[in-house]
Amino acid sequence: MAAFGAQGELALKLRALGDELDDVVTGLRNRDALAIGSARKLVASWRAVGEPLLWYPTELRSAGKLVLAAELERACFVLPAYQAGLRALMPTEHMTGEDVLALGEQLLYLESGEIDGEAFFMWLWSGNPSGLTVLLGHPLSAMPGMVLEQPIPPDEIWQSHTAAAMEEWNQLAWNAAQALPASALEARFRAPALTLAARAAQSDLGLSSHEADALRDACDGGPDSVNAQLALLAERPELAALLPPAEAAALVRAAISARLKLPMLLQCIGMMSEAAAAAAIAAEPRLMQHAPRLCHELLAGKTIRSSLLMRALLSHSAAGARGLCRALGTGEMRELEGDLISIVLGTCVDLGHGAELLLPLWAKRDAPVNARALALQAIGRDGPLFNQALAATPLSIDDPPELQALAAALRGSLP
Amino acid sequence: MIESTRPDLEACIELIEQLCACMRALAAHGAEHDDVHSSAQACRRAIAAAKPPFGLRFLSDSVLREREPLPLTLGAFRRSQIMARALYQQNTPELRFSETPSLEVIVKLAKLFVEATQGNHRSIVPRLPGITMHKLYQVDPTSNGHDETDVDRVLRAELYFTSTRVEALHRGALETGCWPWLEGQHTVAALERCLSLGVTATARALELAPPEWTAARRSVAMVSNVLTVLTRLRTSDVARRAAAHAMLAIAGYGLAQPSVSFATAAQRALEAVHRAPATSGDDEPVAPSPHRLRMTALLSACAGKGSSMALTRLLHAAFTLESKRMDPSGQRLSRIDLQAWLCGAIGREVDEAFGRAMLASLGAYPPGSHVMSDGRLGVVVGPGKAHDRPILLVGGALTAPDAPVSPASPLGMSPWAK
Repeated sequence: MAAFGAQGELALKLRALGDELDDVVTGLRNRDALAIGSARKLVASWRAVGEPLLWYPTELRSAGKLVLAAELERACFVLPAYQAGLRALMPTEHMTGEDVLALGEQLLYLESGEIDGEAFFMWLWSGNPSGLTVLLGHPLSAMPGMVLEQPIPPDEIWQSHTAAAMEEWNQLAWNAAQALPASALEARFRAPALTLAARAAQSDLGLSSHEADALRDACDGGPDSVNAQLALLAERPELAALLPPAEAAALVRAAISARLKLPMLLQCIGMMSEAAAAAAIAAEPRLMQHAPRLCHELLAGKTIRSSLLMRALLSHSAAGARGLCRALGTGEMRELEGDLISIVLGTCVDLGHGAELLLPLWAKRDAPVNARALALQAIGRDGPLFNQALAATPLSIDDPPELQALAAALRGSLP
Repeated sequence: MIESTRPDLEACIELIEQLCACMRALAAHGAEHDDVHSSAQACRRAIAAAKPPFGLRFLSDSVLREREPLPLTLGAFRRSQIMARALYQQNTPELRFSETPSLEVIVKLAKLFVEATQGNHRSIVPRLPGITMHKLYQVDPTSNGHDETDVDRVLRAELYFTSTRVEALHRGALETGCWPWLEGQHTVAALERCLSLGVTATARALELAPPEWTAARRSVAMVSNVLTVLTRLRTSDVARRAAAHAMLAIAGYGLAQPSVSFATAAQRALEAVHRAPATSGDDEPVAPSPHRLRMTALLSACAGKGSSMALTRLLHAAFTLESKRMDPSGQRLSRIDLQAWLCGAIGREVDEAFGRAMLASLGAYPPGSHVMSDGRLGVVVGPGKAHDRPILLVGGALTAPDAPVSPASPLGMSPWAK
């Protein structure tokens, strides 16, 4: 029967969500580049719905409605994932398409038998994918332990427990009496037991809800936990180099949210693989406030490629490039190689950011000469922009000869 | 789906398929139809191939051949559910085959299933030579309302198995100097499953088990303690699992020899963890997951390196408490003595906040504590109406005392003390 109104709309959205999840796995199976598109679509749909996906043996449900039903040739991952122990998935605010792709990849491996249920369970158990909250239940392999071979009446069990406890009491009491004098037993064991009884009688135990909340927050993460993880990565570059992209991104988000001092974070990004560093940089726009230092660390790292640096600087609406230009203008960038800066600034011009990013740098007469020179060189890639720059901020008698020479050379090379 | 390479399991799956086919043919065409006959024949062949005697146990979402799960495909799973519903109607979810039955008996069985799926369950099951149907005694992790003693029995077996596993794991780690990541993770996951069946029941099963407190059993107690506190605090899965795994590693090195300090044990565990390969391989797929990062960072903090972490104080408290179970004089402390020691050590030997969290996580008188109630010695099995009125076993019977109980420390109140 068709449902109408808000409920009907929700049902349609949930079915679309199920289709998108199946599309991700199918796309990965067919090595189809559209899988990433399906994953991003799924992220948007799931965020809009905001409900957990409950995993059953033959179907996925959410908000009491069907999301995806397993069939012989569709969604074949549903049953094996359930048998592996998966019971529910809930998106976090940081869920990305990469998280969904990573999940889809594992579901595909599971469905095709490339990994077994235990490996899938352990992948989820270990905190993957980091953008999803996962609820796990008893996997199929644990079910035999739940079966009892024969019934034993409860009375018999309680009697045997009691007998064992009484025997234990007698044995411990006897041994204690042989080992220690009565005065020592009184002071070391009887007095503390009576103190415990007094506190129990006054309900003077445990934590207030406020204290429990504070303790939970401290356990769950907070700056000290993120700091400890970053310190570990800084100390063990081999771990940093193997960090998967989604986890790198999650760590950056946690570090920025915890307002940690950034040198260690930036150092760790420099040690990561290119894919992980790219994911880390893309994860958090606020990182770009530290573009100059980030550039430095990326250059110091082993895996740096100029394409990554470019991608980093031009992501988040070119926030990194803006930060870099600002830093060039204030003379913070002395450590950087001029050639690389040239490439970066040239790319800014090629991508149409020259007027916004480089004209102000060129116009800044108190900026270091080499920075203005780099800006002018990059501006020289675009004739009209070059003319605009010199019209707005013409060379004056105060400008050093090297700038005059550069401008002349560039003017001469313009078509 | 991973295919089974076990012919006996495959034969059981075939049996389920053919029995369903027989049921369908019977419902559609009646007992005399050729399809009924041919599917019953196929059933016979499958039973013979499965090599009786054997039993099929239909659980809520799986089927076991004795204690082994059948690797069911989607189709076979759906058909097994039809049979499971029929068997649950009869309240006999275990089907045992002592021999290969005759065709006539198989058709009778299929008829019984058809009637049960139609809601006509028989109070008296007809005699089926070669086949018997039984009640199944199980704890279903997806539902509540089990008999407490059944849960205790399941947990006692699981904890015994886990202790054995921990013993082997620690021995291996000490011998190779390398922490077995996957095995450690599986062990913590197994303990989590125990706690999911009941936090109090797990503590009870652990404390009331036979008296030998081996290093492995004490390690299990340490990890359970950490898991219990963090479960009560409702911390995230990543934090809880990292803490439990770090505790397991520290316990391995801390209990291997007497008088090893917490920091030394953590340092040894950290070295073993660092020696474990950091590559993602077939043998040890341990590429840095959130769990690995958090657990290693926590061990590092416990060893006094790098940044401090709040969880180190919990691990220290759990380690210190369990270390007290064996007194330097060789005397073992009972659960109530340990609890009394903890009560006095809060803010001194153990952290104030985590000490109080530990003290309250299982109640003032945790399971396994000896107490006096109404002049009789009892043992606590779980929390009651108030802190000082837990549920007890007194004289072999469950009791909910009306008046406060008092601790009965076997060490502090020994009638033989001189």
